[in-house]
Amino acid sequence: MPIPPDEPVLAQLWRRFQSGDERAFDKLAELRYRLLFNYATRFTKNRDVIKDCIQDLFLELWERREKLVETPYVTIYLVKALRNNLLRKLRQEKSLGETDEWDKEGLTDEMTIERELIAAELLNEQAQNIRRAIEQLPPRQQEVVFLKFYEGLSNEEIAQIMDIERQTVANFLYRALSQMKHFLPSFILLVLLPILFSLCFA
Amino acid sequence: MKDYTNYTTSDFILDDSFRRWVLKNTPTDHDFWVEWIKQNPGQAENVTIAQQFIHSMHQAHELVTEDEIKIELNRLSEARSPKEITFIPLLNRITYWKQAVAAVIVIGLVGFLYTVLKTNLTSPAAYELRKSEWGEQLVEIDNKGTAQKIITLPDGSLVTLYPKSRLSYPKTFVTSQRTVNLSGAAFFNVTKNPKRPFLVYANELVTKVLGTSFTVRAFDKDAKVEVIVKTGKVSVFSAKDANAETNTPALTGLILTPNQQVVFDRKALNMTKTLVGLPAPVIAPEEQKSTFTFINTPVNEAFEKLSNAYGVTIVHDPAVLKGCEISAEFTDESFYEQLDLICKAIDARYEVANAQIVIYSKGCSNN
Repeated sequence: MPIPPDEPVLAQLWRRFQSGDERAFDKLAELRYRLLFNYATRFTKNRDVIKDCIQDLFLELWERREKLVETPYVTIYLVKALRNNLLRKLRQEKSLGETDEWDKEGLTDEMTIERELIAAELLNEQAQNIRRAIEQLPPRQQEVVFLKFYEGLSNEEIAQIMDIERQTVANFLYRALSQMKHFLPSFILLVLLPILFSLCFA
Repeated sequence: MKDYTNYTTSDFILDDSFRRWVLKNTPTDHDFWVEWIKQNPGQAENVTIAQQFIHSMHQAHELVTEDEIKIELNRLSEARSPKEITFIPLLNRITYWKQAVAAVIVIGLVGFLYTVLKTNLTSPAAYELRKSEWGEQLVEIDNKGTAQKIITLPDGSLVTLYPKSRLSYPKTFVTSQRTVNLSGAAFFNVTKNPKRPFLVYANELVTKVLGTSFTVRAFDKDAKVEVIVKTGKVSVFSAKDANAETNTPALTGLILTPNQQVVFDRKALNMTKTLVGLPAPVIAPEEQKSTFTFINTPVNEAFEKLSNAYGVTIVHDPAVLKGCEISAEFTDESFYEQLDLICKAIDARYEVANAQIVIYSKGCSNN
């Protein structure tokens, strides 16, 4: 798998923090926090759970820094580690009979409002439309769309993170985009339809 | 090297290198694509459409604010290396306080009324009732579109009306007060006029201000009524009280200053006031450095400074704390972290009660 050009910088920070460089560690967290947070919103809408999961992830990395392997592709490592932690945490909550985070109905109104307010503050109208369309998708399709268009990953990289076949990624992507077209205004459709067409023959 | 000459918009969107250029602008991708576009001007339109699409898709996933990230990164570095308690070096620390903007959130929880509104569609909502009570001389703006609408009120105040929201107000405000009636969500930037209070009626809450900026969200279908204050001081009370005391200059109700919030329970019909989870300073950033630097400062004075900086009352007994001093430089500690550190240093503790901080201490015996 080819390593994207911005990754060597992260790999270097990774090596420095492994040898105990606190500033390198902070810098790494700073560079990838936004990605990890937004990625985690595909799994749970509970912002406090997300924040705690990311804190735990980084603290664990810091404490285990000497035992960590070197990785040429830090972003994939972090995303995959966070994914595992989130899934584990949500499974635990489910087995404890706490709210089912996968289920949108389980959302409290407060969380919905908080999310809406933040979205209204951050997003323009078109992005808000797309966001709402994305939220209609099943979780794994949302995840593929996120990794593809937020972080710009290739199908191969997405397959590695999600532990699925590359073809499955392509299928998820196709299904996600075809479902999204029902919820989007026509000007976005003009772009979306040809993509679907080319995905069919990909 | 791939041949991109015959690429369509969607080919570009699905191309890994193209997406990486648009999303991350890494130097290698950047150099390649800038050069490529220069040589293929005929593809400019496809490239632009593809860029816009990727940007929108990226942006649609943005659900975290800059401030939240800073708070979390700060929490992380604190947790990574626990610090000394009374002395915190200023060097190499990035302060994350942005502006002295504090949010006051007023939330009304739904009770039975929600069910009533849902099942009995013929019952007029509070907005309609009020509109008919206020009579004919009303201007009504109904934002049925998908974009926000900016409205200038007769007194020069600005209202940003959100989609699916309605606002009605008198053609001319009476001399004693300015009242508007809202259904849905709006941001208000109210011109200062202490003699003519500004009142926003929204479902069962009334928000009264003298001059400030704030948002009200009160959709009939929604479970809650919210008031989010950016600046200034507002008072919030139930619409019933407002009707009864309409002519009293000083309306009763809860006064909210920055960093306080109110929860309105629509079933129990009561309001409780607490502090927000993460109080933000209300003074200008340039003042903060001198405010939060304590060198053998009497603790009484430190509490007073903190209290002013966050607009939060700190109840303490000056006589008991007379001999206590503190040396500390706070840069990016939160309000509660600062309280924790000060209390630890003087062997005191604090409680949050009734939207105030209460300090418990036996004094400092070693002084």
